[in-house]
Amino acid sequence: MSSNKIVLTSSDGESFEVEEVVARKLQIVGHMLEDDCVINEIPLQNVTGDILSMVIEYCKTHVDEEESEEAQTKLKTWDEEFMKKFDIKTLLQIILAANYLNVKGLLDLVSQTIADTIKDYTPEQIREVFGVENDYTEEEEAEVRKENAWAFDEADTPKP
Amino acid sequence: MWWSQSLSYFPLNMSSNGEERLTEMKKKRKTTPRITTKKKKKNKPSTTPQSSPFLSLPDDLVLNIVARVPRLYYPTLSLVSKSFRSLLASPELYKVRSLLGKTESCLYVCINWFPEGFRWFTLCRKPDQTLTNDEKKKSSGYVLASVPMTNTPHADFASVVALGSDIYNIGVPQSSREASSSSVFILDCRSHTWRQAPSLPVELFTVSVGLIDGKKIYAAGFFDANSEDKNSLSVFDPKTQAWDPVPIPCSEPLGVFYRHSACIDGKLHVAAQNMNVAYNFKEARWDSSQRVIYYHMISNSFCVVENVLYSASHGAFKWYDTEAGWRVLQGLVGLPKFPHDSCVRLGNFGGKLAVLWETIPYGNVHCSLIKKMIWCAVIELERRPNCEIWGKVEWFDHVLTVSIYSTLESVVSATV
Repeated sequence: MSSNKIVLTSSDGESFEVEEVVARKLQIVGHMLEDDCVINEIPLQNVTGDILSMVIEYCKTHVDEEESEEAQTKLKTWDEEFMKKFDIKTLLQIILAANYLNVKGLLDLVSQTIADTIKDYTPEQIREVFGVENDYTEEEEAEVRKENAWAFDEADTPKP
Repeated sequence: MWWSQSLSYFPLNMSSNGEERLTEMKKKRKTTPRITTKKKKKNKPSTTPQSSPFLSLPDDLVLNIVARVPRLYYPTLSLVSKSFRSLLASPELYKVRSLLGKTESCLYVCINWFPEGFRWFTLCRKPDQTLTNDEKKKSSGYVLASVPMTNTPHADFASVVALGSDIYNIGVPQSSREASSSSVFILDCRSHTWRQAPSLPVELFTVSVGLIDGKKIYAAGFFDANSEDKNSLSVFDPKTQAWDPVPIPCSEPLGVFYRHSACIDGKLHVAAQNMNVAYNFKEARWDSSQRVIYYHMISNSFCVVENVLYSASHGAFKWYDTEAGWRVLQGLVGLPKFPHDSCVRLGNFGGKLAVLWETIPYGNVHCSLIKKMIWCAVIELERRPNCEIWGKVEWFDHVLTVSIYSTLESVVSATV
């Protein structure tokens, strides 16, 4: 295993010195290294230091992905605990970073975590999260509300 | 992409502060022009949202997230915006769900809705955050959500079958002027649109449909052949989207086919006027069938789950297979007793048993105001030694309220 060190610099000027094998987990870095093997400092324009540090933490943990069931279970538990640290806004920043840096495993993990989180959100909250504007007209909205009374009003549920 | 216009994203540097900030952002959003990521790269995390631009969340990321949300929550998601609603019906989304291995069984319920006609509902879960703590204790959170669709064809308890992501509705007259029909309608459960498929070879007066080994669809019934009632059994291949050109010969002394049929172990049992018969698809042969099979089908409350026929009639759950005959379904702890005259419908819900039933609440309300309540239970089935099947009630709840004149028609589950 190579012990070569690479320095990754975030958009806000924070630098992280990591092992090359860790840096290569970021496919964007992997491609750069293939193009020119003498680079040892890589500026990453689209990610801030605090988010980059989390991505690096993930990559360090996932650096040797062992096949054994025990190792897999351990990693899975770690992933779950790791994701618990973040609120929805941070998760959204991480997903963008994972997408830009091209870390497939992290992208899948964050996508699933966001999906599990937003499923329990109200339509209003989902609009907030994705910054979606409600483009139903007033009449359409009234119709939608009528059709979906279950989602808006809480009728009593008597026992059979 | 068509839905990307309205998708923007939290500013990257927004710190995690409560509700006020969200509201502020919402107000701001309408006036702030969206600019690209590059312009904001110098921002420090401490920057206030007021000075922050909004980023677009790439389409493929939104797709990737939404594809991982269980289908039970899609009715809520569709209320977010029109663009979200189109995303949820898009072929792209279902492609991603399939690639991610996220396809799942979804329950669909057809109700003969007074006064408009037939309507379809799908099982959904209320988002957790809309439930108060009291409700969380007493409610499962499950409800039936109306599926928005146009041109919904008339259906019947025995005319509906689901295969893959499609629901087939076969051989039901579409107006009161007709007594027989050869029509075939298919509901795509991804886009919730109906399309027509090749008609049955003959116009049937009665129809019952089902799956043969989970691969093909049969339709049994009788038709008018020059003023003579004749039985018909046709097979539809979903791969070729065509009815088998060679008709299966049906011997006539049976009397006409009724609407009660079930295909178990490759054998189709059909109730007929004079005797009961079973068609063996592999050997292409008619055998006589035990009359007893139909005893518990007359209530129209039956379905086949993994080669076992289940029935709920007169408040008792029974199951039937070729070896065991009819037996009582054990367990069912916690399931309420149904009113004796209650309409009950059973459906195969991805290997579990879905039970839907109606109740009418007591009380001296004016007659026209009386509503019927639709209930749903999901029962996990476990086969044990000594020829026993046990049912474990996963949950049951009141899922919909309908007019007293509306009726439960049929229950199926599609895989999407």
